[in-house]
Amino acid sequence: MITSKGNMLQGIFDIFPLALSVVPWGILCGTISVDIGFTFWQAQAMSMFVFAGAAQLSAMSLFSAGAGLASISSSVFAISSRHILYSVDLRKEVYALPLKWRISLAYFLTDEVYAVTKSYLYRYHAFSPIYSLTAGVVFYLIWNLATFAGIVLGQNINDLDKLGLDFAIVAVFIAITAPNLKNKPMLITSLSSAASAIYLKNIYPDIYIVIASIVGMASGYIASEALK
Amino acid sequence: MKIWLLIGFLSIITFMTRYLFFSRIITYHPSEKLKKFLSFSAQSILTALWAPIVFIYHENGEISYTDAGYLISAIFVLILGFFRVNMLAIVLLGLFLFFTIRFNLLKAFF
Repeated sequence: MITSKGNMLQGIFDIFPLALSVVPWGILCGTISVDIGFTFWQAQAMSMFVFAGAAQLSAMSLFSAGAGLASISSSVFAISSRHILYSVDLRKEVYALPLKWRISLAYFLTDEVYAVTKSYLYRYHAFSPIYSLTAGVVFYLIWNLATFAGIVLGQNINDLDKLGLDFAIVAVFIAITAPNLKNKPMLITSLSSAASAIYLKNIYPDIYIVIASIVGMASGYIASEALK
Repeated sequence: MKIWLLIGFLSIITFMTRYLFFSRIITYHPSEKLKKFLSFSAQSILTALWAPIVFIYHENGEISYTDAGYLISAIFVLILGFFRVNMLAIVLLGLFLFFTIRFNLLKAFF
């Protein structure tokens, strides 16, 4: 039996490397929000309440390009739709928990928290709410500190966004997706999604992510049915 | 557009996508087919987000890359990721290589 204190410590230990990996990206989010005219609290509120790196960046780039509420919202919904899968997948683990637990666990459910939760489930064949919540809170604090650093830097240093910090996004996303490329349908998903996104970005800057994601998912699904 | 309104809207959207199936109000169970379709979502979305940062499509039909630093570092990270190197190590090594190329840091040594 693992104690809850042990679970908390393990949650911190497991999420820490993942949280550090997104620090440059959090800094970028902070700097960009200042650049496009958000006040300090608006910039920090993005990370405190929206709390979704990819969605935040996409929302800000659409906002600065003058896109409206509807197109920003639909893009953010599309980018966040993968979280629906996470909530479907973890439903049976959290279903019996009280409302406050389900709300807190959902609030902190990111790609990284889902990843450590799945690996915990795989190792111990049991779900630990305190483990996942601790991991989520630690990730949240580091993400918000990174955003704060980005806001402060952005207010004092010009052109920080031209430094190439966006490579941190590339590195994190490749690190998450590359191990799956050994699986053929996943490889096909990645290739078709990448090709569509690159091709469509200038043509449909508002919705290229939505279209490319659906093309990728459909290709992967068809490939997996065909390869059965 | 009111920025605060936008932040409020987006907060509701990101929270709802996470909470949707944690809620007991929803009794709908996605079919196995839908679950399988969704199982490609993270791979697909994350790829759609990073690929256009590295590669650019031009209207004349040509594809180019942002710059050599992005391309070389992305390939490097891809290889490390494929062999399941620890994530923090991948990101740090990738950023190290990227900034070395970007700011021509090798000149300091040679």
